Amino acid sequence: MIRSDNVASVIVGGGFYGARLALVLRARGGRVLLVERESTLLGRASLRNQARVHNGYHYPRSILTSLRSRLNYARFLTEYADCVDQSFAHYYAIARGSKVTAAQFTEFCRRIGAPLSAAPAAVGRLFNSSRIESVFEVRECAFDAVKLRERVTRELEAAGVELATETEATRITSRAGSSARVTLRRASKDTIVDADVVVNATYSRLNHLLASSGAAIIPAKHELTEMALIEPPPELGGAAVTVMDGPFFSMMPYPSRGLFTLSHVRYTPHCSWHDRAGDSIAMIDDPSRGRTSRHLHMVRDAERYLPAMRSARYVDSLWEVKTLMPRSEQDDSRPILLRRSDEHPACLTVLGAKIDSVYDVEEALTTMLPRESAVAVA
Amino acid sequence: MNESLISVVAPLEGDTPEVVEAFVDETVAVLRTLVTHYEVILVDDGVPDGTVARVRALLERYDFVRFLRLSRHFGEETAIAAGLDVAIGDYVIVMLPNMDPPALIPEFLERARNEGDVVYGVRLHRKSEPFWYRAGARLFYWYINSVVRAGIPKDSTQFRCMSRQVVNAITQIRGPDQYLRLLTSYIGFRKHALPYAPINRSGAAIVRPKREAVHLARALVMDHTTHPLRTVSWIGVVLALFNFVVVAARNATGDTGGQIHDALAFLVIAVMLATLGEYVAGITNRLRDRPAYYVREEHTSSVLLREERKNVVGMTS
Repeated sequence: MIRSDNVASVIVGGGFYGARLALVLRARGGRVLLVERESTLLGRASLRNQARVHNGYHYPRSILTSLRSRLNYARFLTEYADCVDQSFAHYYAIARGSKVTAAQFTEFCRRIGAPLSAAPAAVGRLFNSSRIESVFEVRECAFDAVKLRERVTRELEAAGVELATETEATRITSRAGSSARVTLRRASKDTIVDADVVVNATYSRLNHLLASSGAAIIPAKHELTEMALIEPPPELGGAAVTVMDGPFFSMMPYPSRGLFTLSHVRYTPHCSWHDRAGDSIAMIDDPSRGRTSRHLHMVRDAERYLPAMRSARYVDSLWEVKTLMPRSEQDDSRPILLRRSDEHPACLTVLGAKIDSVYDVEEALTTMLPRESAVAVA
Repeated sequence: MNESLISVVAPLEGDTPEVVEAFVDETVAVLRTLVTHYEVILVDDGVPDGTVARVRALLERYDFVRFLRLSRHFGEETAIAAGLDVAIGDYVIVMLPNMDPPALIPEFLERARNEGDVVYGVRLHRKSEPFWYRAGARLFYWYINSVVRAGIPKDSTQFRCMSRQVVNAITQIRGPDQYLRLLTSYIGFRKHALPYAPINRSGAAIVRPKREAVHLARALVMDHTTHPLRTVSWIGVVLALFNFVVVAARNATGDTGGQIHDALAFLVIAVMLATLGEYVAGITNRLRDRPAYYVREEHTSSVLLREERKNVVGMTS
């Protein structure tokens, strides 16, 4: 419910990033309005993803990303201990002919200080030794998106952040001074709200808002992704498995549904496209529409490395549009993006790939906010 | 039944875009009537640039198509081996786009499911081939089946359907040359022939270049058997004995002629050395123990549906 037309900050997008940034801005003072298109917070990409809290293992070709990831991991676990599942074992299997060898991976983990040990022999035997060089046990956990939503919703309420669900921010215009005017649409009715700061945390729809506001778009790449939700083979005893590096797959607990996600580098992205200046922006409301699930492809390929996958049972699929910066595809470093719009200086666009990168975003946002608003802190 | 995944592996070499497109169109149409989950793996073993671009366009039109590009031309057999290495299907069907009709896929699959682990295609006729090629093929099959008994069915083609078990058995065999027809014979399992009339999409004569045909025949023989080596060795022994007798007789009579049989002896020795050389070359290749092929890049289908493209917001700037 929008009660007023003048606030300090508007955050567009009620995913985990948007919610966290709303709390950060609220702590700085003034009224904060969080706008979400869906009926609940954390209902899209924050919910429909692998639920992995990264502990650095994933980026053996980028030490910096890994170190950063390790710091954020510790912080996330401390802060959200009640929203993560740490009860399962996690095995990383290094495939033969992959981009990293077992020896390189061991050395890499030593350098970043990530815990690594040889997997129990009984686990190692589950893998096809002609395709897998070595199996390690690591420490990496999964978050429960539903618990996270409940907690974040409580925190927003406690902090007094105003919430507008089923509401879409359709347009931003600049006003005199450095503030902006945001047009909000709810049930085909438009309202207007003015704010000193507008944060565009809409993830895959980041360019919709920019384009419809006449601002330069960000050359993002999108992937329409599918993750299979499965009941894992009993032989694995509830463990997570990641096979790397190259065309690899990953099976992780998905705590909010009591199932496991199965994702595969080759099969999870169904298609990809780029947002380019001058082109129209593709809009996908229901990512699963018209798609044939690739769950069987994922399972059959996984079977070649881990024969027990034959008894995995497919339940459902998670479909979502995943958005990444084109550059991060090349250096594997998955950076965060925080960019001020040239056309609308009050508007900041954020984009990140991992749940735990939220700390990087918060840090970057704080440095970009005007100092004077800090004075307003109660 | 519907829950099995079918892979089609097709090596592309010198195929025109029209041939590849027609092949993929038909294959996908047939597969869709059979199963929900399938993949078509096109292995680029040296196709022209024009074809590459058109194949990339196919990946935007059809889901479940994979395009594996080898680092250079490795030959049809190696390209098929590369495809088998990455295929994930419960059944894998190997086809040559130019000559194998996709309409027969259901029959191959049905027979593989019900009767045996391998169903291989056999040409009903070789009418489109020139006389010398047919004669050569006849000689080859006579030698390989009657003399050395390699068990390569006469006029068998690459078109075949194999169960996962068979594909696993075949991909375990590593070597510089992976001749599917020989490996199929070697690994055993239940096998069935399926006679069919090959088509010819390109309209051009579908025979291998002479040199390649001779190379293939030689490689198939030598990969399978040491028969030629033993044969020439024994010919050498017999000739040496004969030579000894002749020379001894000549010494006794004081005859100093004999250039003919000297020349004959030299010829036999040359043949022996050449044969020996082929085997030594084979051993050398094997000892090098390097990958049989390299993959330059792999592409997967990326189909943006029409509704999605239509459903856009325009730029206001």
